[in-house]
Amino acid sequence: MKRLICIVLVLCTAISMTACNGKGAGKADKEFVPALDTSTSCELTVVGSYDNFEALEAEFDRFSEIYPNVQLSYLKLDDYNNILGTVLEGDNKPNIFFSNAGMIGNEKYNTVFSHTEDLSDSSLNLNLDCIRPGLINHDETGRVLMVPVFSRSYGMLVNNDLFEKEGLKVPTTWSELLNVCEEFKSRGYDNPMMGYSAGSSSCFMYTIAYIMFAANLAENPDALKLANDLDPAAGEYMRPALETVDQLIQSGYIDLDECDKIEDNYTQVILRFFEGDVPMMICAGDTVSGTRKRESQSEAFSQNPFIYTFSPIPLTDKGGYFIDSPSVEFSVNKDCDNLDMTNEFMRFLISNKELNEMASVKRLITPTKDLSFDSVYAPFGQVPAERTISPEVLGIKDKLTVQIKNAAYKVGRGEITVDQAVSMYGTFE
Amino acid sequence: MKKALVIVPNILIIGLILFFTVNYANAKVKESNQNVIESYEKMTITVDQIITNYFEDEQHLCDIWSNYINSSAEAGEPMTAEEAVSYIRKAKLYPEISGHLIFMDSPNRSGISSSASPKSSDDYSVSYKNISIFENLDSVSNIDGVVNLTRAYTNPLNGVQSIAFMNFVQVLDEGTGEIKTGLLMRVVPLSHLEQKLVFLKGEYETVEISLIDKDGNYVIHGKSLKNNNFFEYYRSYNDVSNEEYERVKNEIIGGVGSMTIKNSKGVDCMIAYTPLESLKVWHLIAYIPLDDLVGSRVVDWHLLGVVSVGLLALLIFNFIVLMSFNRKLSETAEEANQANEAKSYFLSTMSHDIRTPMNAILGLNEMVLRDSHEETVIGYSENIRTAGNTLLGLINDILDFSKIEAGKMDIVNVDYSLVSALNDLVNIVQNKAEDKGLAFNIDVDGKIPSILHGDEIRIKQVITNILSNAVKYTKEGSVTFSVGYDKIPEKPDSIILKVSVADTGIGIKQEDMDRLFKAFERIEEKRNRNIEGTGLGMSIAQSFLGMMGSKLQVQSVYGEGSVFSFDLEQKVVKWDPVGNYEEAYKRSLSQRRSYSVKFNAPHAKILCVDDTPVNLTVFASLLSRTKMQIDTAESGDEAIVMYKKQHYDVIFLDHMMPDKDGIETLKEMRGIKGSPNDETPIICLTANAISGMREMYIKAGFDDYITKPIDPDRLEMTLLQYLPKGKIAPAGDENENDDYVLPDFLYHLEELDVGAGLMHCGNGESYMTTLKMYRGAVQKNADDIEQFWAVKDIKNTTIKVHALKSTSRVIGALELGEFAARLEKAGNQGDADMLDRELGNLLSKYRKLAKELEPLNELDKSDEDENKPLITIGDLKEAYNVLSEFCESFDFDSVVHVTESLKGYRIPEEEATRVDAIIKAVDNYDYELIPGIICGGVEG
Repeated sequence: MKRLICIVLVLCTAISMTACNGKGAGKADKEFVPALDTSTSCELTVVGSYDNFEALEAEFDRFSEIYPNVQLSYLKLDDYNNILGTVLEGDNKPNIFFSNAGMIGNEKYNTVFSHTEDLSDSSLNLNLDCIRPGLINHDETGRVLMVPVFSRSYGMLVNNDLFEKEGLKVPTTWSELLNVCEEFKSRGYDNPMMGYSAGSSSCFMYTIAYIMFAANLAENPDALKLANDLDPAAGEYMRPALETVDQLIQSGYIDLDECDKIEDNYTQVILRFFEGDVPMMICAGDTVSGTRKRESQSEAFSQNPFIYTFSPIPLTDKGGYFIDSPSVEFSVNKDCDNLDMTNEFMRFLISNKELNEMASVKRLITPTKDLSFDSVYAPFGQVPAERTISPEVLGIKDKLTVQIKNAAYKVGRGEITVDQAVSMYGTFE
Repeated sequence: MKKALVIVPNILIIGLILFFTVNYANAKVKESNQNVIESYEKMTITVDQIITNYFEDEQHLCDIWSNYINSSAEAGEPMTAEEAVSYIRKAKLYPEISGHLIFMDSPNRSGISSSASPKSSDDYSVSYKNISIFENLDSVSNIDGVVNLTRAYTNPLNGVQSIAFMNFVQVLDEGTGEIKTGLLMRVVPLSHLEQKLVFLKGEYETVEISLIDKDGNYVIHGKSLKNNNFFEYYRSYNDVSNEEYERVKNEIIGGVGSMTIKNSKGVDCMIAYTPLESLKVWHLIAYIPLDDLVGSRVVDWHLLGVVSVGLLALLIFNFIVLMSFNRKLSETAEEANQANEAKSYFLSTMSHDIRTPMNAILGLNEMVLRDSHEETVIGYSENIRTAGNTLLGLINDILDFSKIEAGKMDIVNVDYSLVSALNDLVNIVQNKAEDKGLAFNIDVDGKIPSILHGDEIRIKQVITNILSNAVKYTKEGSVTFSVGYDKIPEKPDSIILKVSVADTGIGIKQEDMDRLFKAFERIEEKRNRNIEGTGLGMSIAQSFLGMMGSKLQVQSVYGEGSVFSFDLEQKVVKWDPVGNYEEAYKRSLSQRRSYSVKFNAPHAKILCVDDTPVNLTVFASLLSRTKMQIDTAESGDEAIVMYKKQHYDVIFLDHMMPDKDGIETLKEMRGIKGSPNDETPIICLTANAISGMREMYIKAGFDDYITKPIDPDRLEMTLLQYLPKGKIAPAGDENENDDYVLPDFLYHLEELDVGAGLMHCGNGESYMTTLKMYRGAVQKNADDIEQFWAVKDIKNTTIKVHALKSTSRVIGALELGEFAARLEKAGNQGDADMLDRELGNLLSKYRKLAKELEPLNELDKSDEDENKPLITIGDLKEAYNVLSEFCESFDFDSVVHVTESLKGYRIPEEEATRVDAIIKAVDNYDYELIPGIICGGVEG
């Protein structure tokens, strides 16, 4: 009898937990059931621009447990953006290829999309509902030509143990951020916040400014059009973002000289954070992806490991923003050999479980609705919908980002003033 | 045999064999695998050679192109780029191979391809702007044999993964008219190289060949090797330290070899590596799953399976055979056990059946010894005792052996007097030695401590055995019994008692020494068959000594004699020396015959239960001088009735009784609650002395155990232990306690010295009995003497006179005794005159004394008749008639029976003389006189 009661309790608990986990997910994952003959023998190739893609290769291994005779391989193409069209036209047609939202509407890739399968086709039975809606791009005809396998965001790495050690709370509002920085300064921490500043690409000034600018544009749709059109009138909408960057630097909470010592915007940013004396390191989500591998490479972290998370930067008194952009997206070549098996692999891959697994290996932000699976990214799961911004859905164009990137970098480095930057909108290259 | 004793060793052996087999098979597999791996490594070298040859061939073709183009330039007729590519277009054999002429100094690293773009058949332009494959361009040279090769890259013209062989060419710049340098690339699809390795598919189906540079970056990428860098791939899927990682890196780029790594699925794989001979900066990696390379262990498992099954079959077969033997052994053991039980039963029965009559013999003999003062009788009695003890010794030997064999012999240490022990030993042996005419020498160290602590009984048994043997096997000469001692420095409270017995007997042959201590073995059986013994003595002695931590040593010269000796550690209780033993022995000898009671207990009451009346008589007699009140019962039921009625201080209960045996009686007694004997000790009295009996009786509830024949001393000692101390009084002078009152007239008889008679007879009662017997025999003895002398039978006359002398002296008729002695002497000397002259006088005095003793008769009668019923005249006449008939039919047994019946009645006075005459006639076997007596006359 006791055993029966235990089983019932365990089942109830399991069901309850499943219900909790399902919160926010569009459709609960079902166990993948092969739709094709599992003894099918064929080869599938995924081409892309990554030098290596171990997370995907791990998925290959998992898929081959179901289809042991399917040989999957990832191939990096040299000069990917230029060669992709040629490769799709050639004899060795890849089955799946990397794509991104920027390709849509770009004439250069017209031939590419002539080979691309509509992944929203219900006959494919892909579980697109597991992906956050803001990350799925529909073309003008409603087709889904690519699905994200990772997403990209901006925020700051937080040394949680350091906060705990100093008895401080991780800030969630702008005023809390300033107070925390002041506290750290007063306790001898010279660099409460840091970030890459040596180049404009992925520099911390851009990271801060882009978030605020995008948020500002989201609240002012008219301004968005002006900004996309590089109308100088849109410069004024950059002002709050640029002033924020300037304030953090001028207040001494970010020491530009110290930041300049960080030689690149990826490995060195991580290694500097792992030194353990920086409470907050501003960076992009792509940078965070390199943290796991570098934990063992950092002597300081190996000797004194600590808990860290990637959190939104609390740039307003309401809190921070979650800029939710697709990173790597997959498209299927509808003219490839073994299309059925290719779609079967996509059906396998596009699921909470596999996408999360892949994001976990790569330590990138998962495109699924469940952000809690990786504790590092968990804070982004707490950001309410009204402060989640999908630039692609919003319609932010690349040329707009160039303006804010350059303006922020130059203001941050003191090369121009905020006013100058505002007035120069549309002229940055 | 226990099954585990068979199964466990067998399983262990099987385990060891399997362990060896597995190890051996594994070693063989390892050896085989090592060979496979070595072959695999050699394969990489072969592949290296093939690739090298291929690369050199392709490079050579590239060089042919470049040489041709360059030779034109050198000849002063440089080709334009278009002409050069046109030449290549004609020269190349394979359509999939193309030539790219790239100008590195152009903005987009652009040039012309020999093949058209797939997008447009008119478009031959090609650009390497975004393809980084020219890092080592500086090393490109025209030297023969040097391969200038790119990594695998995406052909920008057609998107096909390719490799390119390079050389520089001089072509004419149509724009400037000057010679300019272009990079000529022979672009070969990677699949071409892969086709060269197809030969491997037969032997190594799943092998994948990769080429890496010194940093691990793939030049050519095997499909199973993930990542873009082999070393990163290794680190991702193999949990290794940084040191190990560096070691592996250095090993792979350092030379030829192989190692096992895990692939992305965690599967063990074998990689063999070798530097590429044609391009020293590249390394060849041959990858294959380990199971595909060294997978075949099926044969080993077959071997293991066959060996296992074979061994198990052997085990089962052996087990069945062993179990079969085991069963037979069990049956045999069971039979042996039954035989042993039969032996035990026999010993028990023998012990009981022999000891029961022996109890009567020895017990009654003891009474004779105590009560008799006749030298001759005492002598006979002593002989009975000696013979009885010898017989008991034989029985005891067998019982002791039975106990030793059963492991139930215990050593019981007590304090004992060495002198007393030696006395007992000497008493036993000395007579035997003297009887055989042997000198029995005793040599006892006078300094030996007098009181020791040890098992006196066993020590005496050992020495008795040795001494008895010495006497038995010595025909002439002497037996010397020596006792000495040594002190033990480390044990100040103990000594080593050194005992030896030397004889001048027949000795023992050296070859018989081993048999000496074997049970039932008698050395030189034929020669010694007249010597009594069981053959157990030495075996028992050796066993006892072994139990006491010693060993019997023997030195012997055949025909000359033997010395048996042993050393025995004994604790010392009193260090007083024994002194001169011979004097002490003589003292004890003088006191030997006189029994003295150990205690008096007139107020003590004991009960003895035995189904044999004679045993009860012996028991009561042995204890008579203790003055205890002794009740007897002849059955368990009778005893239980008495048990309920009155209190006894000690109860002796025989074991073997009909109807209700001793144990049943005991249980019933103990089951009676509130009886006067709840606390009374009950001692088992049994003839059953076999091993284990004591434990059995104690377990059954008896307080103690005494064996029959009863040892009087032990009986008294046991009583001393169990009787209430308040009821025990010290033993007094026996004569003082003799309260039998002699008739007065005896003291007035001139012929009689009452004091001497009492001294000879021990006590008054005994004296009275003897006097009565004497008086009763006078008439017949005197008549016999007269009759013998009437015919001048001097010999028988002398014998009869001798008896008259002895009996007269015993009753204190000293003068008459002396008179008879003189005549006996005369008779012995044949002095007929003397006899003729004095015999009448002697008989006259003899009869006169008998006459004077007649009042004893009256006393008897008056004592006896008072309690007897008076027979009527009618019944008496009827008895006379019956007697007359029995006499006529010569049925004298019936005559005796009737006469005995008459003794049970008081006879009327007028018939008393007649009845007495009949009884006397019966006593004297004069049955023929009885009819005459009945008819009237009474003859004297």
